[in-house]
Amino acid sequence: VINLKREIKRELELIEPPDLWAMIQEYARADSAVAGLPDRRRPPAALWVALAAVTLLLALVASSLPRNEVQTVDTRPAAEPPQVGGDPDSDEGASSVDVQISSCRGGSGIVTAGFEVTKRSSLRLLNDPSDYIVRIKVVDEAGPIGVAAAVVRNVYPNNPKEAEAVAPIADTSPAGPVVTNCFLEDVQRVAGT
Amino acid sequence: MRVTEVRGAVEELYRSEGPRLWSAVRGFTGDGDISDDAVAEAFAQLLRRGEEVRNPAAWVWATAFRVAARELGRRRTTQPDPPDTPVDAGMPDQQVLSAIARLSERQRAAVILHYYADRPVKEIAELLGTTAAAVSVHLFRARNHLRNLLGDDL
Repeated sequence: VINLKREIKRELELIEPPDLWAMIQEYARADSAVAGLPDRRRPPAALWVALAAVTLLLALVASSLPRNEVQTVDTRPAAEPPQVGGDPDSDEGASSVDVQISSCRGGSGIVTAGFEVTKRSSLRLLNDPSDYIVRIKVVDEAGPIGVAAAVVRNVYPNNPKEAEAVAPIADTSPAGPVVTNCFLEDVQRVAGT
Repeated sequence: MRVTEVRGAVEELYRSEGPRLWSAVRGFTGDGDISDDAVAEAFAQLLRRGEEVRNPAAWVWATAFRVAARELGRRRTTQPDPPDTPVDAGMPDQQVLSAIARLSERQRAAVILHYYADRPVKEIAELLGTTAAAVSVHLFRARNHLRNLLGDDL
């Protein structure tokens, strides 16, 4: 028993533990960002009551304001939705969504591409309420034949999804397209979700 | 306690417990990536929960092991033919860790927590969500199995 204890300790100490503090803070930031997003899966009834009350209150306040006040309008261009995916070293926090193509099949003008959404860390079960558009380039022997796209909701890791072609798939052979490969084109978070 | 104080306390705990916890999870899983994620996840959750956690050190150990066990389970279901032993567990100077990698998951956790982390059987039982008697059985069987694998060296 003494040998076992000593040997486990000796062998484990041969492997230097990494400094994970930066990673921990990044995870915590991602958690905070997701916590700040609305959870559409369980919209509480009280929320609607509260929203109605606030709307009514604002309407009352607005109607009591003098009409000749200068209105301030924000003319800045709307922010671009964050581009996500692909870069594991990105500091995007909760916006980091990685996608892996898991299958690709097609014929008769329709191509279905399977893919799996993974987070930077496959362990993080962040039920992200945002929508993401995943575009997948479909290729046959002659080259690209179309793009498959899908809107993905409630992103969580290792949840297989499928994207069906929305663009016409060019027939490059009499029997229809012979899909040879699919490549991830981009993953984009839908703004405002 | 303010956010900065929570952060400072969690960082202090990470500096004192993190490396040892990482090594323990590494011994349990045989996988550095799972260990990174499990330990980071546990401390990140601790940061979020702050004062809700009454015994942060015990909590973070339990959470890291649970997260790691969950990932091992997930890999078993998503990878149809996983190797018998983790890829990086078979280095020539890691015979004991290689042997431990061939134990059952519960036995591995019990062995690492008992012999590496010096946790008493009762505490291991709480951490693994089982009874002290079951942990004792896991340790007994694990020792026998390791003796068969490693010979009389142990």
